[in-house]
Amino acid sequence: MLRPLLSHEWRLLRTAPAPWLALGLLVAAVFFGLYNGSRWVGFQQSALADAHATEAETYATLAQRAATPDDQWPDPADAAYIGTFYGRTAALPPAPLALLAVGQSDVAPYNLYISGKTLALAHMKAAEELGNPQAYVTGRFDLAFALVVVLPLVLLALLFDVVSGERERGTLRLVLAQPVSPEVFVWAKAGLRWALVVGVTWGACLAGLVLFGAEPRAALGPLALTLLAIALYAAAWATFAVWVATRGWGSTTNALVMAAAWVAAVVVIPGLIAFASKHLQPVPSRAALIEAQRDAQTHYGEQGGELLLAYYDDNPGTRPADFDPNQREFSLFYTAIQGAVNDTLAPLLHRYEQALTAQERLAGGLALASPAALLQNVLTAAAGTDHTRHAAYLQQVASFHAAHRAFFVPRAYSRTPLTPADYAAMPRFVFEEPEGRFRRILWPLGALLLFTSALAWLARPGLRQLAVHG
Amino acid sequence: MIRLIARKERLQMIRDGRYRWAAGLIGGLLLFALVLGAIESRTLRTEAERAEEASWAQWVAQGERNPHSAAHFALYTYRPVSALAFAEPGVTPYTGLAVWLEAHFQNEFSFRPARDAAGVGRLGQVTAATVLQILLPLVIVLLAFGAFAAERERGTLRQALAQGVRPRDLALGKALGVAQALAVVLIPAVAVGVLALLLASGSLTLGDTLGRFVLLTVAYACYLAAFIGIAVAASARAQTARAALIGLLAFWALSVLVLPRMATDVAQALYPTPSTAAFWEDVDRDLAQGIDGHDPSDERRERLLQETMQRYGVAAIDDLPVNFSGISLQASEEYGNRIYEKHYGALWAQVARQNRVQALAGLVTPLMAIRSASMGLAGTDFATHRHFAEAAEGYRRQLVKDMNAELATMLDPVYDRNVRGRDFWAAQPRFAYTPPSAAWALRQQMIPLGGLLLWAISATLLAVASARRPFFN
Repeated sequence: MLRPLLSHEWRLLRTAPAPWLALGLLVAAVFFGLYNGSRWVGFQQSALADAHATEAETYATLAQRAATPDDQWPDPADAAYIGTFYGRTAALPPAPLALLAVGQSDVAPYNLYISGKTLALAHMKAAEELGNPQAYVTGRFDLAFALVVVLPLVLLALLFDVVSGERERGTLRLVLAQPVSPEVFVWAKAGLRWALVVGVTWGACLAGLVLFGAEPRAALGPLALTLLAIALYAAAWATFAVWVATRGWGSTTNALVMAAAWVAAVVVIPGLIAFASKHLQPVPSRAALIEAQRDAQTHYGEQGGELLLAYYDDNPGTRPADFDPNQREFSLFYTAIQGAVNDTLAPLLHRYEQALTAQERLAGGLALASPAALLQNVLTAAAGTDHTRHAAYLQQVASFHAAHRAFFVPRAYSRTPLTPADYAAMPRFVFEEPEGRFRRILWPLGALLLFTSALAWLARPGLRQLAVHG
Repeated sequence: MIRLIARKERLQMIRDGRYRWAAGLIGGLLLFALVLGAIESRTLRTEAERAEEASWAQWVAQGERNPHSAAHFALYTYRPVSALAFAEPGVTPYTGLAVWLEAHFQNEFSFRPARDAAGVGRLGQVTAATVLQILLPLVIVLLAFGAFAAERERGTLRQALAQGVRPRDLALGKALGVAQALAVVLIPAVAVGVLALLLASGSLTLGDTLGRFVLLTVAYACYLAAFIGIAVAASARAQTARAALIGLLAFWALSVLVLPRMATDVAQALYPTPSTAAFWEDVDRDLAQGIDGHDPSDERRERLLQETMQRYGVAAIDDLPVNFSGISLQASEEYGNRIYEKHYGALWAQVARQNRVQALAGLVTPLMAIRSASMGLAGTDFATHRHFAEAAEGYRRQLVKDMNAELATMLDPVYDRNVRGRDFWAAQPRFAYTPPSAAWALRQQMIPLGGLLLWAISATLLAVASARRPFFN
């Protein structure tokens, strides 16, 4: 009985224009989303390439001048000046699937300039992208948007009258007079439409990924899980439609209920989740960081000599013969002051990261309330535009900042000139992917499965007693 | 007649269980959003005001130092939070908290609040603006899709028209009925809004803020009227109530969520802005090599030295009756200001072009028109942010100039012996900012407001025209 049922349904779908129009819109949305995602990835890559190129040129010139000394400013052998006023680009490169979801990558810094000045200062100056704040209000049309927002719209358009339409046309009683159970009948109809939408979406995603030059081979596992998440997300909506169908409402009521559920899932509940996590796990105001940086600067501003003396006491044999704590040497003293200010601020800076991690963790848990939030989390985790990867980046940046200072400070304080060999040996930042990417994808994926199963379970009793009359 | 029809429609809706559910949910959400928005923007405002004071206190207490060092330390200024941000936060989460007004640099604002918030919030924010812009049109669809279609299916439409009711009156009456049913939800919200406003704004700006509030109310009325008109027209034209509903839901979903993102991306693709890295690379190049590479900085300095010595009739820098550092620093500052004007001017012009495309997209989807107008009138749009950024930059230039002028009078050859202290820092003028007036905001928002008016009028005309030729089978 199932086969003729499915083939008849397929004939109905195939010959009607509306489903194909809806699916066409979905394909267009997927392609547009991937195109925008790839543009943003390209933007970041070229910004990073620019920064790296400028930096390479600067250091090449300095290294060259260190090999053949001249009397130009600045002195490339001056470890205090070079180590404190010159820095390195700490780049967070877009991950192989970054074009899936912009996520927070447009507001979180990915291109910090790390010098011997304080780490807080690296966050304060030119750390964030320029750009149009009004564009952020609406948000980007990335693949995540096409999947989270547009896909359910298309699916619900195909499903809102899947049973009520039959009932209103009077065909439901004819069908149920056949040897087919209401469960099989409804699931077959909904399943076919689900499979069609998922199949078309998968095809469009894979074609789009190839077309827009992603490197899916570098991330086959996350890609497979993403495709699975898309199917589960669509299944959640299809199951919801089945549940609605069991209520025995008319097509118009169904459509209204589905539209309300859609806007609740994709806009209202995510907003409430963000709101709740923001207030239950607040991140302190960054004004405190700005103030602490300036207070510490004033506090240590006149103590350069004493800070250096303390260092020389702790590290015997490093004090240059002509060092005079009362004779301010600008770069040397400034390096010492920046070190002290940095040490004061490090715990505060860390607290912001901790607070945000706690807030994201809470939001990740609350995401159970909306499949849209869950899919968004799968996509940003697969794309590497989620909080966890960025937190790992900031942690690596902090270690790099420490390594940068550890390289220059002993040379600066002992007035050891920088040599061309030093220029070759200077630390550079290379981002290392954090562990646990699969876990970050699997948790929201599992939650999606749970969500869908719960809906299916809710729909079961109603399916058995499907209302034949309106 | 119109009022009679409206009364019947309103009563019928209010007695409908679906309406009570929707009105209760949306009304509750709106009040929730307003109250929490008021608390949140108050917290932001108090924090900004406190930090602004703290920044000034740090400036005054920076100790004895050379005025040029003071200009480097300088001040932070915190962007003000609009009195209407509680209802329409606009760009507040996406513009930096504060800007460092230091010598040599026109900095960007740092620390966008959105950076310190969970990423899921980018899907949606629960604000009064969201409820009004996205959810209320859905309620309108619910209330209006059956206006004509349901009566036609029951057969009462023929009866009403046969009794000589003018189709125009029928359309307008039904539209008015929907509006009245909405008012039940909106009036308490407006009352809460006005209360929040009275609590949030100082007495000096209250008149202006109320002006903005009235304009906002008019803009939202046009926006909602457009949806009512379209819904009534669709109900009259569609063959069945079901077809009217499906068409309206598709129109709603596309216009409130899908098309706005498209318009934003198209605007960005048409008028791209540079990356931070590229922007500062260009600024640095101009600073070092002169604008367009014609006038390197060391040549500029040498020329200035010769001119200054000539002016004072001396042959050596040490014989000058002024400190040349002060003069040279100010000259390079002024040169830098030209460079910043060039680069920030280009950047901001590009952003303004993007926003004009977004406003023009208001002709395609009324949401883009109301979003522009709403942010603009609430004082939470980019243009208002830019107004503040420019005022802050003006203050920075004056402060640095004053420091350089002071340095020019200090003749000790040793930099660290030319110092000023607390009294001098405290005697500097403070940054006083006057936000733009409601009239200014109105002028900025002519395109989207015109668009909204056009939507409202043409949707009403469409409803009336559709009622004249409703579908009958």
